Amino acid sequence: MIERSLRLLALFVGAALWLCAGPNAHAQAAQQGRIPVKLVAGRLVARCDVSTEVRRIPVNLFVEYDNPCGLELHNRAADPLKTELPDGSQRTITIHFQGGEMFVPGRELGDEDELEAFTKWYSTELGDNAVVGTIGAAVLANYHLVFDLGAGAIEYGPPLARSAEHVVAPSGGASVPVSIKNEMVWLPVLLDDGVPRTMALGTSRYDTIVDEDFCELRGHPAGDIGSARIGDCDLSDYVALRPAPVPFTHRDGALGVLGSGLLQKLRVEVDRANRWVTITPVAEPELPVADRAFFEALVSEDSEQVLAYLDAYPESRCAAEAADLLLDQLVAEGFEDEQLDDALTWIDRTCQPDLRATAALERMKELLGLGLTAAAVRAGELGVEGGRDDRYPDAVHQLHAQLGTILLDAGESREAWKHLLSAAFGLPEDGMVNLQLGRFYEQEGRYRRAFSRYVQAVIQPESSPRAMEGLVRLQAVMNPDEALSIDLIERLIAGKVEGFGAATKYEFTPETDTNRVVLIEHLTNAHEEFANGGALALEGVLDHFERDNVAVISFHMSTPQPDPLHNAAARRADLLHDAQESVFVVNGRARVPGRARTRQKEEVYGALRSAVIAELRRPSDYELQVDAHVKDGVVSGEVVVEGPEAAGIKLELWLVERGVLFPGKSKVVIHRMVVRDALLDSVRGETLAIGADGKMTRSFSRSLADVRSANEAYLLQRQAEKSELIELVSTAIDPGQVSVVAVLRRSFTGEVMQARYVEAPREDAE
Amino acid sequence: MLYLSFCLVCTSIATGTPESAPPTVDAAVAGPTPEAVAGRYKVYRNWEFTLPQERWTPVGEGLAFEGFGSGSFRAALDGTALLLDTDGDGETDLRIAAEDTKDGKTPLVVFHDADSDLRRAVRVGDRGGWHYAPAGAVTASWHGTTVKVIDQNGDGRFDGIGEDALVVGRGESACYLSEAINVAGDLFRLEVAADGSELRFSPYDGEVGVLDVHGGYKTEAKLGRVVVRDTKGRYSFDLGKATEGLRVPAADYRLEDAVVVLGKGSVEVQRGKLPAMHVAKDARYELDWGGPLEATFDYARVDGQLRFDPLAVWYTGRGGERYTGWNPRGSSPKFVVKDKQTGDVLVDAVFPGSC
Repeated sequence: MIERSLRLLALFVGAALWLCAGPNAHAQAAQQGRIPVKLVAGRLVARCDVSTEVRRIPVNLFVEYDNPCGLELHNRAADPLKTELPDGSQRTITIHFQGGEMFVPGRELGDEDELEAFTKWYSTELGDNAVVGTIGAAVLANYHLVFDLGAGAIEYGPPLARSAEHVVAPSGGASVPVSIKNEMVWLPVLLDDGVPRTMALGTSRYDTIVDEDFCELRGHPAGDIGSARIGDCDLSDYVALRPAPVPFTHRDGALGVLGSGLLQKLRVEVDRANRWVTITPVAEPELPVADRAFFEALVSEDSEQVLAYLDAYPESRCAAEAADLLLDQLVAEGFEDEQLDDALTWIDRTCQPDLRATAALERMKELLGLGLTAAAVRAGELGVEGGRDDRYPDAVHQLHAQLGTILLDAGESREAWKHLLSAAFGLPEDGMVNLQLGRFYEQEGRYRRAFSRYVQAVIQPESSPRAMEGLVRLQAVMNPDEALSIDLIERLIAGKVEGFGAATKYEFTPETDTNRVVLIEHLTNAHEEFANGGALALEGVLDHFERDNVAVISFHMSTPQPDPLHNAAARRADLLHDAQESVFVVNGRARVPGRARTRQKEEVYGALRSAVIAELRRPSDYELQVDAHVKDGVVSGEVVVEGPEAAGIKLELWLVERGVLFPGKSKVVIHRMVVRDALLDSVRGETLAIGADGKMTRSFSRSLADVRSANEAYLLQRQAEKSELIELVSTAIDPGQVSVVAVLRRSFTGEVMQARYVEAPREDAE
Repeated sequence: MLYLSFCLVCTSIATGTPESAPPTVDAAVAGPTPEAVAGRYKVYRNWEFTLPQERWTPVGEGLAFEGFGSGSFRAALDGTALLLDTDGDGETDLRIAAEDTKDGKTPLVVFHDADSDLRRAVRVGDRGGWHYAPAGAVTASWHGTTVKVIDQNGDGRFDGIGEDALVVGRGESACYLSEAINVAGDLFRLEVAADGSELRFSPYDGEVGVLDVHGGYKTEAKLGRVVVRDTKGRYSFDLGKATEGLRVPAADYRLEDAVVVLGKGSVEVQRGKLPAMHVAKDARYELDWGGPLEATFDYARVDGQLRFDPLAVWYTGRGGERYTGWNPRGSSPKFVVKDKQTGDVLVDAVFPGSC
């Protein structure tokens, strides 16, 4: 398909592409206006609207003058704006501020995870709108700017005319020439040694950073390198310089980057056209004692020093970071219980009041991973105390769920029950909460309640296997005359899981009323994301067509990860059909994608139905008769093929379980028509051999227990060979769910010549 | 968008090494007795290390660590959750829900030896099955410099030369575990006990040269990390901070990986056709690489349309190295189609912003 390649020098392509995009590429016309900004958790955020000719939406955007990007926009914001046209070109995006606009010819894609996490943690401070992107230097480079963060704004206007005259430096300020590199403005800085260096003007972080390697070389790893003057303005009078990596270079030495914390105290006017910056102090110098102490504690790698900092400055800006650092250090080095308790208390104390439960939940899981169960309980209890005020109401319920589980395992049943009930109040469908409540009620002998909880739990992937065990136990106690079957479970969970039934039964036309039995092979996986849409569509097809006309067999593939319904038969089907993801193969000829979201089930159903109807129009030269039954745990019977002898055709005979309970990540709870094994000697089938009587007859007999053993052995072997972890659940075959499907297939093409489905009735009282 | 404004003007070729000098393999250690330093294992809550070849190992039926008397730590599944025995007594101690690994989260798990106070930490993730990767390092201080060794290959040991990972000094950028390390300009031999309990240092007495990857690199951005390894897999160094070059054992080195950074942006550098770097005894090798970049791309003609694929654009540096993994992805290249005879621009195209 690819016809040729071209080689072009970066001068031609690169200059136009990635490497040297100039500021003019990012804005069409420089207007003027005011960008209202505020600092949220040290990040500079602008509240504005963004629009295209399609739509206008209110948003928050980071403002990062030291980020050489243009306008980065999250896909979720770009989508309603329809920023991209079908031919790949982009619509012009307008950023609307107070009294002005900026025009950007297109958006870029930034770090979406960072945007989402920030919005989650600071939703209250941000107001109604999420942070969906970043305005970078490549956009702002087109304007004359005044950073007046103390007044909560950045003023912007068209570039000034070229001029040789410059503003006189304000008292205690600066009026200095600057250089431009990588779209950023670099200011000359003099340290005590008199060697000229440069710092970039930045707004992407609160702290003003100074190169950590430089600090270490100077013997001041904490960043206390003395005065750092821009003109008459000594930065060290206003902020403590924070040692950090400086990811830039500059011919005069990239010493660091100014932060937004400093810009709250200085008014900075950037006359980019004349390469000039004027700095005016707007706040009295104030020695940043607390910050300095924190940076010293930070580089000390000494938990005692961090603790001393917290004791001295418990309300400081860096207290929360220090508390987290304290836990870092204790975990890294090992600790006494008392020290850990201190760290957890500090973390809780320095957390935002309305995020205590949310933070505690993360901490609790982390502590459990560290093997610190008692500490996890302590963190959870601290979180519960703040649960009522938490901005995420679910957090406290999840804390109760975790606490209840820990306490139940520890034998503190009554206390556990209280937590679990609180959890269930907010998370009624949570599998693990219902499972643990089931365990509690079962321990208490309250079987009816326990049964109800287990039913709730059995449909969730995380709790299903243990809930199933509970149901089996309780069924034996509560109703010993009726074994737990898939039919019973299906009745119990009816309405709790999504289903899909066809509105009508298929009505034959003269063209489709043939002897053809169409075979649908469903290749799927219980852990495949979006396999649910296909599985629901299959339920619709099973409902719409009779089994006399449509036979269905389902193979569970090994990707994305093997589930316990995978077996040697499925591996053979995978090799035959080369399925990369869930798919339906109709008569070995047509393929219908089976990977679809739940809401797309009707589309898949429609496509599958059409493919089946097309195949029904093709009469077959063959007839298949199958007789099967189950007795004493053995499925046996006979298959008869009638039709012309022909080379290259094979007879396959599949043992199928009509419904298997195994909730996986796909959210499919009951898997339909699962192939458990071949009933002939090989999964490849047996070569067609029509006898003198015009028939081929084969009998079969297979113990269901043997099939289970063979499948488990296959999974264990695979687990050992590939270091995979496969849980051996749902491998037992319910004798009441057994069916047999016979298939005649052309080996070379995979085309199905004829199929037949029969149920195998039980002929015993087992 | 990452604006790596590579210099478009070729500079003179940097001084190379004498062609006649073949790589010299130093003799086996016969020098002074190594000095042993106790290794301390540290657990990192927030894993920020960049490893040369990070590996996620399948959890399988359990994990095992060298030096642990309690044997292996059993793993099992419970529905979609992972069950782990974290203290070696065969009983499940920890349940990690698949939900807890969503959005790339990798919960931290610490294993404790039942017979000692040893511990090991891993991150676990559900990556089409449960896998783990290191979350801790053996650390020791040598001449005031911290040395960290990481079990990169997941075999539970710390002595895999060319397999495990090593950080010398501050920072989180690791090279491969090397038989020689450079501490403040001096070369030392390094041996690590399999269980990480001890690191042994002795002066390096083999032939030495200087490798400089900064002097000949043309860029407006900054070299973040530059990991090289000799062709025999014995020596490895991260030259990211060695702006004046670094003393290394005389050998032929290859680029393993590098990262160029500019603010929040970064781009990975792969070896591509970059030749081996021959560091001869007492000689200096300066690598000539970086800008200007050459772009190569494929396109297809389909139904009267020209089709370009974002994955089919390759950027090659002056030394033959490949640039990939631009982060953030940023602005698109602009493809200009011109009339061959008149030079008129017929159409130009860019990739959508989400590409």
